[in-house]
Amino acid sequence: MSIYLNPLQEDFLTELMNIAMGLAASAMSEMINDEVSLSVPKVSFVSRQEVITQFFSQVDGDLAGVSQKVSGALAGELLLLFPSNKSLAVVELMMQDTVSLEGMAGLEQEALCEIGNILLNAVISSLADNINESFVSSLPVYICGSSSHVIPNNGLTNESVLLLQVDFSFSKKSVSGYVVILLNVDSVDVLLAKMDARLASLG
Amino acid sequence: MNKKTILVVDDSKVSRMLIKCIINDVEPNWIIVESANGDEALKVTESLEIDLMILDYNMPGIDGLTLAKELKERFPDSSISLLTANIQSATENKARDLGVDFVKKPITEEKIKGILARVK
Repeated sequence: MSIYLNPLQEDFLTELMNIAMGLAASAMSEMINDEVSLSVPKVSFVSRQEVITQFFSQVDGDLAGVSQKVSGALAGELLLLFPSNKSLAVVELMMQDTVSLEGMAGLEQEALCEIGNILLNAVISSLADNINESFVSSLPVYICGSSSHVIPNNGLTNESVLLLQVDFSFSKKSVSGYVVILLNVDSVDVLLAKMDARLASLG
Repeated sequence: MNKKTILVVDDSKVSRMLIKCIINDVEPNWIIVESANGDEALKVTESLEIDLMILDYNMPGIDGLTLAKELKERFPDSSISLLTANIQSATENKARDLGVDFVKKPITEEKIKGILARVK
């Protein structure tokens, strides 16, 4: 099944994602005490297989990060991903002022999960609030590996999903990462209905 | 200053470490009781007097607001803060309806000091 986003819907969705990532960037900035740069969000309706080919055409090597499932009006998967050779640097950057590196030994994956929990919840909370809906999120899970490993396909490589992606970077430590949201088709219907109602009210 | 007992409940060990580090810096004499989930928290507080509770929301087992409701009955004079990444309005409204302070993660020294000030 394919859903067509008209230019206005695509614009609205991009702006919703902008606002949502702004909140996440604010939280990131608070954690690392540095400015976070954001790309313009990418919005497209693709198959799960295309998520891998489209997304990972720009990424070299393995990724590490956090995956979280959401259910409710907005249902799907949320991913926070970093190049795997940078993920420890991210944790050090975010924890250095409060917990010593010795204290963090063996807890890098858990720290990354908590970071992902904060950032991904910030994003999905903003999206949900902007369409007056709520959601339930699962506990975050650490993921690491190749593109086909970290991007979930649930055995349904041709299933269509709404892909929302923002790239971000920190100026300290030259770390960059990605927030990827995959919303299933039912959620897209909810989102479009709410957006259309909002656009109609604007005249 | 009176010694207080604080309950910290969060499934993230890192979060508990961060909170404890900050509390120990600000109030080194206060007692911190920690739990990784709601059931553990209810068990560990059975024979204690708790002055302040800092609870996560999304945890395995019962969520932070369900836990808050039960702990409120046990410790009606204590202060409860929900410290959570789940910052959607629906969650905040539920917390406010329950009379629970709502604090958004990330955990910072400023936010923990603000929570501690509620019982000083």
